[in-house]
Amino acid sequence: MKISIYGQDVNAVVAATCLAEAGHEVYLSRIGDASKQLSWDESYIEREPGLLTRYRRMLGRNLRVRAFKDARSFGTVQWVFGRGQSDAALQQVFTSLAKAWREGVLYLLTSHHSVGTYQRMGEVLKEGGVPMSDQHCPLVSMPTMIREGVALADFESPALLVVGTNDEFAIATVTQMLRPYINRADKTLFVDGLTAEITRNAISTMLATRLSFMNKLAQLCENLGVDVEVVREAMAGDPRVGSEYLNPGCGFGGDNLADELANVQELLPKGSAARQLVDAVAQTNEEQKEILFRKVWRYYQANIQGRTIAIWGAAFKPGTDSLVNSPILTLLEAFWAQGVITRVYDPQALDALRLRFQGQELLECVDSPYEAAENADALLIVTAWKEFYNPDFEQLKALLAVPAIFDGRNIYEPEVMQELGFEYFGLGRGLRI
Amino acid sequence: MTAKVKMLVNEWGALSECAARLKSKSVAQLFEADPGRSQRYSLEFSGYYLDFAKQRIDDQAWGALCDLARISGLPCAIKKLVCGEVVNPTENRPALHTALRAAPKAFDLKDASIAESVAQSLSKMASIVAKIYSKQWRGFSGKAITDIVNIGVGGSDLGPFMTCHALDEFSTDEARRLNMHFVSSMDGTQIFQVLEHLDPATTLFIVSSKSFTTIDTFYNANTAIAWLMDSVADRQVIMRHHVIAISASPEKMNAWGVPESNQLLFWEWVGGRFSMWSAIGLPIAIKIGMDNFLALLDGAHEMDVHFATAPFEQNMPVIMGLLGVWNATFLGINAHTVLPYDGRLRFLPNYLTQLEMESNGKSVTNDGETVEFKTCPILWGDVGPNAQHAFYQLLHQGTQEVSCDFIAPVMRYHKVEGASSVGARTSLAEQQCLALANCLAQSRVLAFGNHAVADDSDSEVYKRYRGNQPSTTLLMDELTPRFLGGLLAAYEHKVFVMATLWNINPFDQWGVELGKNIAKQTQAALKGEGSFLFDSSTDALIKRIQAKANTAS
Repeated sequence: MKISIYGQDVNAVVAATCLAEAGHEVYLSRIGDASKQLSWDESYIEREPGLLTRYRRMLGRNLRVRAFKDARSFGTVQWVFGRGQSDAALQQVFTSLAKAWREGVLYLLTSHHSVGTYQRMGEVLKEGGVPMSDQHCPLVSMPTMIREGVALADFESPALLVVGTNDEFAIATVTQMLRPYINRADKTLFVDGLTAEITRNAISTMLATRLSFMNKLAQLCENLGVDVEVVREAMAGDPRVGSEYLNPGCGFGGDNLADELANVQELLPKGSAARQLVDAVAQTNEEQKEILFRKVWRYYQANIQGRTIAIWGAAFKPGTDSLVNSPILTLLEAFWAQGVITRVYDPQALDALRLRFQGQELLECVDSPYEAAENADALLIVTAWKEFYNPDFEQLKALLAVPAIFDGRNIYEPEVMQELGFEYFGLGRGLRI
Repeated sequence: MTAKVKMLVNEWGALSECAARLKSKSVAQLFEADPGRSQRYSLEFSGYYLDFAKQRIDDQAWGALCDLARISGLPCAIKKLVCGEVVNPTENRPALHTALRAAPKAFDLKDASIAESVAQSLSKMASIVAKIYSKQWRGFSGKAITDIVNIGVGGSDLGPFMTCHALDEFSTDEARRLNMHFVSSMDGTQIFQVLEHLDPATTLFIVSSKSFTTIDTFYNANTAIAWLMDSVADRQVIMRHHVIAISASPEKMNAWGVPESNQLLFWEWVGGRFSMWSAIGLPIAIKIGMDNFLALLDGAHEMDVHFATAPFEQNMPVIMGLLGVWNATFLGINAHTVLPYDGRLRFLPNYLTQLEMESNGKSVTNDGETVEFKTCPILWGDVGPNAQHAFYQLLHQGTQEVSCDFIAPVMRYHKVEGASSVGARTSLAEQQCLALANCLAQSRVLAFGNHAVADDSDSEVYKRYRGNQPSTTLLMDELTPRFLGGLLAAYEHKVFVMATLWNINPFDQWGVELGKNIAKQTQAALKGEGSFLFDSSTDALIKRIQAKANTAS
């Protein structure tokens, strides 16, 4: 099958690579502003474990990077990944795709745009001359549930595959295209386009709600002197609750949950109870991002000007160099506003951090976790990188001016830390402040 | 008798004669004799339109009033005011509210360092607003401030309070997540109500007092500090993160424990009731943002320049002031009411009550003599449409003569967006038209009485309208920070014009001192500290209070 794929994110490249590996002929094309650039930042391919090797192996065989106008007259399947595109840019893509319409072409849309985007793009195609009717709609909504860091595995054996179309021809084409992956999916659902969009929204919002709920629960546990980890384990043991997305933390980042949450907020009328519920989820997360700052603030009796704070981790989650919506951004602004020096170590995200805050005198980016800790007045854990789990605690304690650890990911055991001679503040466990 | 005094006496005599003549004429008659008078008795300036044709003046009287202004030395007085000469002789100070809103070098200031001090204070205000807006002004728990309580009284309260209400529509997005509260009265009612529903962790107090000794303010402030100390025992933490102090006395702010970073300064040469343009305006700047606050200052400055340069016959504050003197002193009208036809200006009459009556409620001239004429009238007011259902009855059919200021913005709801539906917008535009119609109708009935309607043959006495209540109508294109700034500056200068013609000092307020002192003694008496004998009335009241308090405890 000839497939054209548009977009510049992990999703697009993973789909292009996997579909090429499955024997399809694939053209990959950039869209939006990126299409006008001579060279484009492809570091996200490098960062996704395993992707670069497999992508390179398929390049020059049945995967080719092509200009937009070549791609649009190539594939019988035209799959658009809209991440990072404005509404207007996305609309422009579909307007030009419509110009190259021929009988038998199927359009797929994967995006995190607001609910209704699927319908709007359908109208764009129709205005562009693509035959559309109630019986026949050659546009499919393809929400992906791919997670950064495990993107290949998520594409190849998805836990859930939702395909938004009720067009017989479209169902048949997608089913054929996704062989063998569709057979490995735990569950495949064919629903209409709007339902697919809402499903994607609902899943993300539910996950965000769980996280914000757990963060509020951690606060409650802290106030009551109960270890939230014990409560969490018990909850996870109840099959009605399950264990996923149940860890308290210093706020979720990335753009997936945040975007979807914003989409849902937009759908609900201001002041309605439903809106308040979702607003509270979003607000709780924003406040959670500065919870470590507040603890340090209280630890030093609201007098922290001129202190130095070590921070381990900047990326919004381990396995990425992305700072998108990361709690580090909130924390740094808060500390800088009080005249605090911040010394940050992260195995991958330091370049991004340096680039973003050029000229900020209160930011020091250092190359080892121990260098960060040197003579610092507190240590903050922001990202749960594996290498932070078992540092040389003796050395760490000797380096810190004040052996106080504020753990935003609950990666240490309070009793152990106490024995080692640290003042340990977790979320919902450890010392209370 | 010097030549100047002679001229003054003559001019006052001429005006008294005019007044005697005009007292027997009705406004209706003036219009009959002079149908085109509104052309002459009106002024257009920078989006304002002042109509004073319904005042009881004619060309002769008006000419004599303008002459009186000149003979009284008003041109020289204005120059002294804006240049920073001493215009408040009993306290030996200038009154430089005009310098607070001037571009540097706008006026020929005697003390060149003033412009720099003003700029510094504004820039410190801006950085405080920015810190609050960016959610980086934090309380003791590390949470950002969400509630701001302004503690101040008189000039440290009325201006910011009135303006925050008037310009609420200009709130910035950052300000919309903040709640602004005002606490002034010494009895504790307001502070009690405010503290009831606030979280100490996220509450910031602005303590405003020019002298930083105002007893009303400090009782309220001490209650606030005590409330905070229930949550955090360290007074330094409270002072660093929960208190901003605004005063002309850095020493007293230091002594109270406010760190320098949280102090905003203004100066002895700013009168309390003229101080909302200074750091005292911080609540306004927080509410509407620094850009809008500066627009407010710009509007006032524009009026200052107009006041200082326009010929008297085309000078809005001068006209307002001359009419004030004419009505109060020559026509003997001792009540003046301010009637905004716009709910946003609800607290403007209250603000002007202080501005006019505390400034010009005087009876001793600058030469130390008792005045032999009426000075400042009793001033009050309310939102016009609501007052129509309250005290307009007295205006129309009572026995008091009252002069009136009608105030209305012409355009409203033309920029409303967002939440309100198209239907609501259309209906709101209709409401604005209704309010303006009522504004014009009421001033007509007040001026012309039954003559306002063609068929005035209604014979029942109790349905008759006497008319002849003089009024000025002030329209502005719309209510914006700039227009409000100009409006308030116009009233400030009106007050100055009147004081100059009356030869009284509008910038002191000795009349409020004695009561304060006696209250201290009385407080001791109420607590039973020492034995006091006042007068039989007060002694009985004290006994009554003590007896009740004892049974209660």
